[in-house]
Amino acid sequence: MRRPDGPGRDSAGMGRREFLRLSACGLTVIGLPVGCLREDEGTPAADHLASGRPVSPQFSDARTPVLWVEAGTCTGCACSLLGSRLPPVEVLLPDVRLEFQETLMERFGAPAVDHLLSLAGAAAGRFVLVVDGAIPVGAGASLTTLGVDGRGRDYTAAELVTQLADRAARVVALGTCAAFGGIPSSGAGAGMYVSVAEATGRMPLRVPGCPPNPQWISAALGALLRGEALELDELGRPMAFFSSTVHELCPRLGSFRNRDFATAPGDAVRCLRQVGCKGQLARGDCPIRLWQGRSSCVKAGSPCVACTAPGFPDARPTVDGRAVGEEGKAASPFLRPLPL
Amino acid sequence: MATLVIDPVSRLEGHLRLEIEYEGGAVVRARSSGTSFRGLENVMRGRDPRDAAQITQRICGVCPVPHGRAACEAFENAAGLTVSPLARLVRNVVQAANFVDSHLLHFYVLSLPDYVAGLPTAGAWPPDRAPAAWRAARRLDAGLLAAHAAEALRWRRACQEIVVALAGKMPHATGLVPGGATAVPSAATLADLRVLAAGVGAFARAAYADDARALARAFPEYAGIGASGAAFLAHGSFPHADGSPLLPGGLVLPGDASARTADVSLVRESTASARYAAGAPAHPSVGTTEPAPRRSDAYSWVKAPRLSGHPCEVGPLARAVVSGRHSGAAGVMARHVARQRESVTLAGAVESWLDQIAAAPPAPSALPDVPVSGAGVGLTEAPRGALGHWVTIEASATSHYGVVSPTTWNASPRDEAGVPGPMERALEGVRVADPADPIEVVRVVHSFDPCLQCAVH
Repeated sequence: MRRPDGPGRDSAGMGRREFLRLSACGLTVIGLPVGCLREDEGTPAADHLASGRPVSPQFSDARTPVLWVEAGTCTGCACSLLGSRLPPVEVLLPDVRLEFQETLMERFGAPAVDHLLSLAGAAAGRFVLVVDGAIPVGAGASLTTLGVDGRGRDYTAAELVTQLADRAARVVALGTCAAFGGIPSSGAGAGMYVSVAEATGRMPLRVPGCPPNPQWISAALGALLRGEALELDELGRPMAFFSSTVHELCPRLGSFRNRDFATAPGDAVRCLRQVGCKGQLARGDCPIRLWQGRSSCVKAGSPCVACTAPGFPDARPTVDGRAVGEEGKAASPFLRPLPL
Repeated sequence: MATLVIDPVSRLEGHLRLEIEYEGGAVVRARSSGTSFRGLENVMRGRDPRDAAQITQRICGVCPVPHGRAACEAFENAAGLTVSPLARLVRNVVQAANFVDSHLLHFYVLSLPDYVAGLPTAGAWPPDRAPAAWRAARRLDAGLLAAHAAEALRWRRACQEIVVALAGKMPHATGLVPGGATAVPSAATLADLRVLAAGVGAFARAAYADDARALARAFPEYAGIGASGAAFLAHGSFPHADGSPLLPGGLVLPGDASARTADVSLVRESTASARYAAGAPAHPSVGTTEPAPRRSDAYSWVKAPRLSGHPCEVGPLARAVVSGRHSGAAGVMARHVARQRESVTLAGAVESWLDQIAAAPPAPSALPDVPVSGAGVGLTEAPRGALGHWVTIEASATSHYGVVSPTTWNASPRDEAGVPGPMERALEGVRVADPADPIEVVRVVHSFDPCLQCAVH
C-alpha cells in the first residue's frame, strides 16, 4: 500500500488560500459576508460582492474541490469542525471549496448527487475526498444509502465512497469510525460496518478521534489543500498530533508516577487510571491542545475513553494487517481499569 | 398523480429521503425514510451498562449531551442511585448549553439558506438554478443575516466551551458519568462561563429574536403551512432541586386546551413500515431492532412510536404547547420562534445554575457498582424533543437497550394502521410551485430540525 503523503501529489489546482495563515495572524471576518476575504484579489467572488449579487464561490474557482461524504455517521466530526475556534470556522469554511457536504450544503436531492458525481469525473485526480462515519459493506451495504442521482439510481455508502476514492487525489478518513471502524463496527456491528481503508482498499490519511479535535481536522486538511507534505506515522496519522499518548501529556502524570490514584471520576488532581482512564492506549495531544482552548477530558476529571485508538471501543489488534500493540487494546468497559 | 423523490434532503443531521406524491401543485402523500442504520442499541448488548453514557452519545454528534444524560439516568434508575445537587446542576448546564448550540446551528446554518440567498454555505446552487425563483428577497436583509450567522457560530463556540469546561469535550462529553459528574470548576472558571452564558443570552434575545421575527414576517404564509395536527408530547427536563422540571412534560392531544400526564408505559413502536423483523408494536424496553433490509413492505429505518396510538410531535414547539406558553398556529414559523424563545430561557437558566454550582457543596462522585440485575428508564428532552432510554441489566451486563429519540417521533413512517408520522402529515397539502425546486417541502421538513441518525440510531 502506498503512503498517502507522497510529496507533490497534489500538483494541480492547489488551494490559493492558506486558511491556517489566517488564524495565525488573528484575522477574523465576523460580521462580514462570505467572500470579503477575496475582495483584494479581484476574483469573481469579489465582483459578485461588489454587484450585491449572491456570492457563489465555487464557480470559476481554481481551488481544489473538497467532497465530503458522511457515511454511517453521527455528524460529530462535522460538528467538531463547526466548533473550530482557531481558525474560526466562519473564516475557515468560506475559504474551503466544499462542494458536497450533506449537513451543510445548499443543494439537495438528485441535483446534489449529480453535482457530486460530475465533479468527481471532471476533477478526477484533483479533488480531496473526506469521509466520516463507518461504511456498511457486503450483504449489509443497503444499511446506509446516501442518495439518488438524476437517472433514479440509488447509491449505497459503499458504492459512493469506493467510486469517489478511486478518483480522488487524496482520501481523508475523518474520525475513528472512518479511520478504524469505531463504534458501529463493534459488538453486534462487527463485520457489518468497516473503515474507509477496508471498504476501498486504499490507505487514507487518518485523522482519528471521536470526534477529532477541530484543529486536527483544519490543519490536516489545510496542509493537503496547500500541497504541503504532512509527516505521517505508519497508520497514516499526522505525527504533529498523534506522536504522543494522552497519558504522556497528561497533567496528572505526576500522580500516576507516585501511584496516587483517584477512587472516583471527578477527582481534582489524582490519576484517573483506576477509574478507567485509557490515556495509555490513546494517541493524541488533547491534554495540551485542549477543546475550545479551555479543557480536555482528563483535565476535567473525566477518564479518557481512548476515542482516538484503533481499540475504541473494542479490541482491534491489527490495522492494515499491521499489529498495533497497546493501541489495539479494548477501551471498553470505560470505567474499568486496564490490567496493570 | 406524479411522484417526486428528494434524496438526500440536505442541511439536517443524518440521511433523509422523501417521496412525495403530488397532484394539482399540492402534496397528496409524503413518505419519509431514514436511510442509515447503525444499530447502537444492539452495540450496547452484553456491555457494562455504565458504558451507555459514552456509546449512546455517539447516536448523535449534534445533541450528544441529552443522550449521555438519559443513559446515566436510566442506569441510576436501575441501580437505585440518586445524584448530588452538584451533578444535577452540572448536567442541567451542559445540556442547556447543548440545546442553544443546536438551536443556533439549526436556524442560522441549516434553515436560513431555504429563505435567503448569499449566506455562507457549502455546495451552493449554481446561478442558473436561479435562487431568486424560490427565495425572493422579501425584505430580508441578507447581509445582516450573514453577519448574524457568523456571530451565531461564535456563540455556538461559547456554548461548547461551557460543555468542555464542565464535561471535558464537545461533541461527546466524557464528563457525563453514571453516579454523578466529573466537574471540578474553580470560581474563576465559573465566572468565565457566566460571562459566556450572558453573551449567548444577549445574542438570543436580540439578534436571534429579531431574525426569527423578520423571517416570520417575510414569509407569513408559513405560519399555517406545515402544521402536523399531531398530539404534542414532552418528557420534561432540567430538574430543579425539588425534582420539578424547568421545561415541563406532558401530552396535549389534538383539540385539547391543556396538557395531561403522559404515561410512557403506553408507548409502542411499530415496525409496520420500518425495516426490522415484523412483529406486534412493542414498548421500547422490550422491542427488538433486528434489521430486515429486504422487507418490501417497509420504507424506513425509523420505527413508528405512538403513545396510546397517537403520533406525537415533539420539540421546542411541543414543549411550548405542553407548558402553556404557546397556542394558536403551529406551522413552520411557530417552530422557528419556539426554538429562539427557548434559547433565551435556557441561557438565563444557565447563569442561575452556574451561581448555584458556585454555592453547592463539593460532591465527589462515587464510582457506582453495576447491579446484578435491574431495569431503568431515563426520560429527558433533547434539542429536538422528547428522548427516552430504557436499559435492562442481567448478570451485571446490558441485556437490552432501547432508545426513542425525538426524530423517531417526528419523522416516523406509517404505523400498522397506516397513520403517517407527524412530518409526513405536515407535508400533506403543501403547495409546490415548481416540482424541479421543491423548496416548500424542504422548508417544512427543516422546521422540525430532523436528526435522522438519532431517529434510527
